Amino acid sequence: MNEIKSGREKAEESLYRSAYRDAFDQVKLGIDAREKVLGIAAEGKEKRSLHGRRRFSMAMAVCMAVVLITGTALAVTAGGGLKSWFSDEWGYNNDGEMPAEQQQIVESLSTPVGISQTVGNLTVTVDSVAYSDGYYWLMVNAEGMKFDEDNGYSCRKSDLRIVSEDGRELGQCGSSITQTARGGSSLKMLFEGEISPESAEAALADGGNMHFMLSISDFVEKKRGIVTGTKEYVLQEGTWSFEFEVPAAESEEMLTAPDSDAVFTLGGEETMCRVRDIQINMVGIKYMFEGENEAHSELPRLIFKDGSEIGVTGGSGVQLEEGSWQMKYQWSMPVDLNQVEAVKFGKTEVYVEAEVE
Amino acid sequence: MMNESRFTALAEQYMDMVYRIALNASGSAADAEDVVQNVMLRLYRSDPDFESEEHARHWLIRVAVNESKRLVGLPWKKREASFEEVLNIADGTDGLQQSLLMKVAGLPPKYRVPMYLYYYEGYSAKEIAELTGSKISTLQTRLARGREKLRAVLEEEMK
Repeated sequence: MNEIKSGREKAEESLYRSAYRDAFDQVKLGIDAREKVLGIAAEGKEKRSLHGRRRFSMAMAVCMAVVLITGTALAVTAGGGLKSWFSDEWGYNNDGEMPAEQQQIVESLSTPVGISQTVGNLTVTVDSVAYSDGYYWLMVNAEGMKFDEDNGYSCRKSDLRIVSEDGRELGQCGSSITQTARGGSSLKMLFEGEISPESAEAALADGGNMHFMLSISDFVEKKRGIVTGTKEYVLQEGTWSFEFEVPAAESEEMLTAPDSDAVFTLGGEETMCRVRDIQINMVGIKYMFEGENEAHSELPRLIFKDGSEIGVTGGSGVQLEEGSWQMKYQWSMPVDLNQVEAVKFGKTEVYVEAEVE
Repeated sequence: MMNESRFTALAEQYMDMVYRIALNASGSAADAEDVVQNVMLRLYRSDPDFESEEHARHWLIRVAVNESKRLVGLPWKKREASFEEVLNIADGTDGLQQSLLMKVAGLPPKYRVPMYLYYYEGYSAKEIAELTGSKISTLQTRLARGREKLRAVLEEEMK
């Protein structure tokens, strides 16, 4: 705003302020709504808080790797890639910066890797990995070639194997990659997924590191033409292979939420389903879902105390009996549980349970 | 949970402010009331540790803006913008005030909230950019365009 204003501008400014004051001084919350607000604290005194801390185990788990790629011309130092990626995603979803406490959670779970390999003109670098409770996020960068904002990029093949220090297989995930390039000379790739709870517990019991083995082959470019449609061209042939250590970690904190009836939308109509045994930790959520099959396609979202929210990135469900599923999802990033307010199922927000003194 | 007397004091002081922000964001009195409920509930449950009066006001504005965005984005909450509801409720408004409110109602929401925070709540452009998560340049453009659109209402007064 220009600090130096003319006399006319100052008069205009004063007039706007006066007009706004006169108009909006009359705009107040209605009496009924006012009483409802003031009644919040009185109602709250009647409710009891529950402390929810439970260990849990799952009968089955499905290993999934959902890979997102975006290309941005950001300069990334080893270890900083995940924080940068999650900060961008937070800002995109919430129109504001990721809070410092949330950034600290990402940093505390991240292990810098910084291993590079060059094949032809393309250098691929494993920047960093975040791991806890069986879930991982792995940041990989590709540099050395031009990535056009209008084209798509992918690898023909990628594999991630995770083994314990004594060579026991903990998880193996193949993946297909879809991506969006934003131009410039670098491409960011995020690998995210999980290993089974049994493997995660075994890795913890071993007390050491997990051995990650990542293999990426044959980068391709997909050009979209109005007349010709999408055509694929080989950008760089070759295989980039990496091996690195990741400490096994388990979060000690967990939140629960009360069993609730939640409203979902199916075919334009609302339907009520039951969510129960809700367990939230810093990397994911688990809960039982009872209701119509298609309703649980509405993915849960995590709501924070300041109104910000994030979604999930991957998950799985196991049908235990007719109309009853055990669901688990990975948050799109590790979260600061101290800032969590509620989880949203369909249209319904379910508030997490506070600790008992 | 927040202490009841502290919550009541904050609610009494700021619920009208939250309502006006939500009304500017949503254009609907009913949606704005929902936002107020959500924001105050959030205040009560999270019991933030405010360092000052200004910190509390800042926090409530930020949460009000976020809650309004969420509510406005929900498909089953979309309703026609209706500042007539506000005009019916705002007893005591004279002709100029009604004209201004009608003109404000006609502004796109992205102009209404910054204009309100600037001209009524007295925040600077830089502060509003931080509160709404916007770039300062974007914010300044919106303020300038909002002013242009309101100018016709106030021209008579300036004469």
